[in-house]
Amino acid sequence: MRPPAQARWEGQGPTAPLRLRSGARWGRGRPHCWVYVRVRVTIGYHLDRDDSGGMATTSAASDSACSAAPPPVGGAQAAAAVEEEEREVVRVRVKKCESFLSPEFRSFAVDPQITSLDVLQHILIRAFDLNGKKNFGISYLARDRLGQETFLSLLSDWDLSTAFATASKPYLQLRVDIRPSEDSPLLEDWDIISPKDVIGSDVLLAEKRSSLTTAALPFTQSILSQVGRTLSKVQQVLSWSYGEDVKPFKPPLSDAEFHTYLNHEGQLSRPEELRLRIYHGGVEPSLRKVVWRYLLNVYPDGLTGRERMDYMKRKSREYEQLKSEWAQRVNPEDLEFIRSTVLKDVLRTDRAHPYYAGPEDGPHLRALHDLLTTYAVTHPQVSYCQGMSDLASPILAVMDHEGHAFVCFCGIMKRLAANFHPDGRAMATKFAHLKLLLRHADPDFYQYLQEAGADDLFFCYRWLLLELKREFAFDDALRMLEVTWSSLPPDPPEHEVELVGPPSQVADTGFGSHRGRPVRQRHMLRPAGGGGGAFEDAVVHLAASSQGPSGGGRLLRQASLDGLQQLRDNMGLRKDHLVQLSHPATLISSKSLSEPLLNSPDPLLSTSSRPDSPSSSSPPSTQEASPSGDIAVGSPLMQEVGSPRDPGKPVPPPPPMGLPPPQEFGRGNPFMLFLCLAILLEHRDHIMRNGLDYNELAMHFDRLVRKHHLGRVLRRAKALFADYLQSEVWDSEEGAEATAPS
Amino acid sequence: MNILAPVRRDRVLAELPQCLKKEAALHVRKDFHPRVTCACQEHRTGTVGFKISKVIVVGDLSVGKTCLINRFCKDTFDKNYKATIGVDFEMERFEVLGVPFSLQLWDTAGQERFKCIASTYYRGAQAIIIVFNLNDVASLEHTKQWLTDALKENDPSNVLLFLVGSKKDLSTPAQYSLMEKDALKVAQEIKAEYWAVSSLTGENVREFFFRVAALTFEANVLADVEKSGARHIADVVRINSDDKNLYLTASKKKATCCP
Repeated sequence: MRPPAQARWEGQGPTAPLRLRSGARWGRGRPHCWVYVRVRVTIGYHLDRDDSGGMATTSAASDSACSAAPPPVGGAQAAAAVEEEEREVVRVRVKKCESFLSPEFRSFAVDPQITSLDVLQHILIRAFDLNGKKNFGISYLARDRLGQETFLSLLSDWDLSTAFATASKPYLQLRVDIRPSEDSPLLEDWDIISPKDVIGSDVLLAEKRSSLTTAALPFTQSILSQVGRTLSKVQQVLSWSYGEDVKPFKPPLSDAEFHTYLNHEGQLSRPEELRLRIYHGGVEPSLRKVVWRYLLNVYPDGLTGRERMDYMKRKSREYEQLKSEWAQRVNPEDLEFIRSTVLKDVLRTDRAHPYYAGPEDGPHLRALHDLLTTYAVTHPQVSYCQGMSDLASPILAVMDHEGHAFVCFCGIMKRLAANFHPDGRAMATKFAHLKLLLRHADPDFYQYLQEAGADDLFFCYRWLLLELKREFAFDDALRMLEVTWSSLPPDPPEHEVELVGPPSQVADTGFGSHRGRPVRQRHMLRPAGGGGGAFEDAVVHLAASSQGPSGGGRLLRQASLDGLQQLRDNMGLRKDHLVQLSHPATLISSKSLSEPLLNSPDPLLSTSSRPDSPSSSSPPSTQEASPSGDIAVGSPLMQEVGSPRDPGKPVPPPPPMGLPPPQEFGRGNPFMLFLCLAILLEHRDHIMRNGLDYNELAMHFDRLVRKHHLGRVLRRAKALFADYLQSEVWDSEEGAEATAPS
Repeated sequence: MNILAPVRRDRVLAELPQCLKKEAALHVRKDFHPRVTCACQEHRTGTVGFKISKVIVVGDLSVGKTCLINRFCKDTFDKNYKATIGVDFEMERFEVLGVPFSLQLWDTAGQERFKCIASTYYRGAQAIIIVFNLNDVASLEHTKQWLTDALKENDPSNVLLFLVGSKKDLSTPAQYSLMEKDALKVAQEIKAEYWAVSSLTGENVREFFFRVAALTFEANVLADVEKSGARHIADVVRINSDDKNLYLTASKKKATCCP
């Protein structure tokens, strides 16, 4: 239930002050006073309705600005703080324009030191009661050197800093342009951040609930990052806005709290809520051994505490059995090749970390070697590839049990095996999406990279392949990984994690029955252009098809189809594999409209890893269906993949693309793309200021291996991710146009 | 990039380091090219002193590319390093004939699955170092394919090639003798200079990289001197200026094109 003291904007007169939940009134008897909300460290802003639109009120307010009554404690210091605030504050006057409605006006003051674009956006959301409207643009009135006045867009914190510095005398004039947008079921179905987990009140409409939920993240993240307030203080300040249950910033999940997510039999009853909790605060180190098994989708649903123990014992025995079967599953030459490759990498993986710092024949290095070798032997279509040791290393260090770590590794590789496929398609998709995201978030930076010839972003290859595991110090990487994994929807196995993958079938992707030397020769003697060109071709085609409608867009798309077809032929995929490829698009299209998407990444991976075992949940007729252009939520990328056998057939023009929807973005891990974006933006100014070229860019980020600042990157990534989820740009033609570089 | 590390005392070259084997060398002169020496003495080296020359290191998985680079750049045989994924790089500063000069060493991934991504870093290379394992005949056989891939991104006439056999410490003299015969044949075929090194013992590592730095520097200065000479002639002889301009244009296009 809403607190009775909560402010209602519609019913207040122009001089009514903001009312705190406690009921205290500031400057009750002084009309036109500027009043600041504060507890200990001040966030200064006061909202004042100004329906008349007249300049007189603003001028009067400026003339009669005065201090609020000092708070009960620290009178002298508070007075000094107030004085400082008066010198620092920027007065803002906002005009809201919405299609044919008459304009509305609001006035308030902000402290530019702590007001980021996110904070400003949410002040505006509150001031104009924009909860039900998902798209609006902000621009400010600027004067050039000739005194010409024009409105410039506010699209980044940099823009806002410029506005504060150059256009805030006597006040900053803003304009808010509302753009209507269609509601979409996608956000309702995307369950990473559930409304009921964030806002306790059921009184709110579903639409407002979703909007408030996603709006909360960047607002609170920005507040927290800038004022460094304690949890209780945050709750005190924010409770009047969102209700009692907003807990966006938390310490790591503790054992005691973890048990509140289990019922009396030890079953996990609220998996989504657990993930949201970890998303916000991570996991206490001592608890990772238990909780990571949920995040890596090791347990099927509904296991009791005892059943989980039995399950892990059984899977560990299964692992030990597989480990004893190396010689039976591969021939001696292939086994030797796998083992020597794995061993070389194990000896150079995280050796600076205490767990792996021991002698080369130590137990932990042996466990890592055996784990990776067993995986390569039991998954011949994936085998071993450099980088897998980086993924396995933190899991083994946390589990400290070879068998348990192997089951967890199988869990993560279910999602990531595609990264290591020789055809490079999964990586090409991720590069294309990262490129889209960067262009979307910062067109100027993107253009800079284009001119430097670095817009392929290949210096991010290691980031995407290893999901940034190597970019942070080891302990920071553990936190980054669990936050990232918790941003994904739960995907528990139906019965058990499978420890054995499909047998080798395509000769050039596995070791099968070939002897070691011929295999290596074949790898190295791949036809010229076939191996090296395929990945870049895929990137180019995907990027082209992601550009959306443009001059020659249809022709480009047709060329992309031909390219994809040729790429697939070159990779030697069999015909029935093509049938499987057309299948996921249909599933996604159907599910997007009618079902929750919790498991949507699974069909893609299942189909990819089991070409001869069609999904049991799929009726045979879907194999004949082709996605229709009328399904607005479908992705052009998937549509094109879904029509590989009819390259000559005209493809219906896809809807204009902002960014792909969450279940497709980043090929199953959208939050990771925002981590990459956060790192890029963190270094944006340095890169552009120094004019780094292609090589210098790669060198710059190569120097930063294991050195990125986790706190800053996570905060920025979460804020950007929340904006993405809230904006639903992927559905809106107007949204796409509005955010395109102009 | 604005603040460059000072040149270490042991990175000063006053004389041309010699090749290992005359049978497979880029050239066998005992001294720098006279025009290079003259240009340095008269401080007419153009922008070479502020230039960074790109050198890429390619070869099979685990032939020891990263060890080789680390041995020279860090003078260590450090086992606690990371497997190369995508690309790593090291910058080394030299002083050649009194002129500062930098090598940008790009260490690429040897595993098949990373070859496609690594190829994007080949562009703009002035020297290509192809590494094979002296104890693995297959890795020598693969060097031609590595070269083919690298040359797709570069103009062959403007690239210096080095064929380097690594892990010499693991070879017996008899084995090495047989392998060297094969390697020299390959080096002559691809017009590369041959070296044999050991990252473990450090044998020939320093000499090899000094040779790379010297020859790359020499090529850079010669290119600059020739450009200056062409411009000089163009100023005097009007009729020839058209031909020279055409030559410059063609040269520029040729040097920068990426197939």
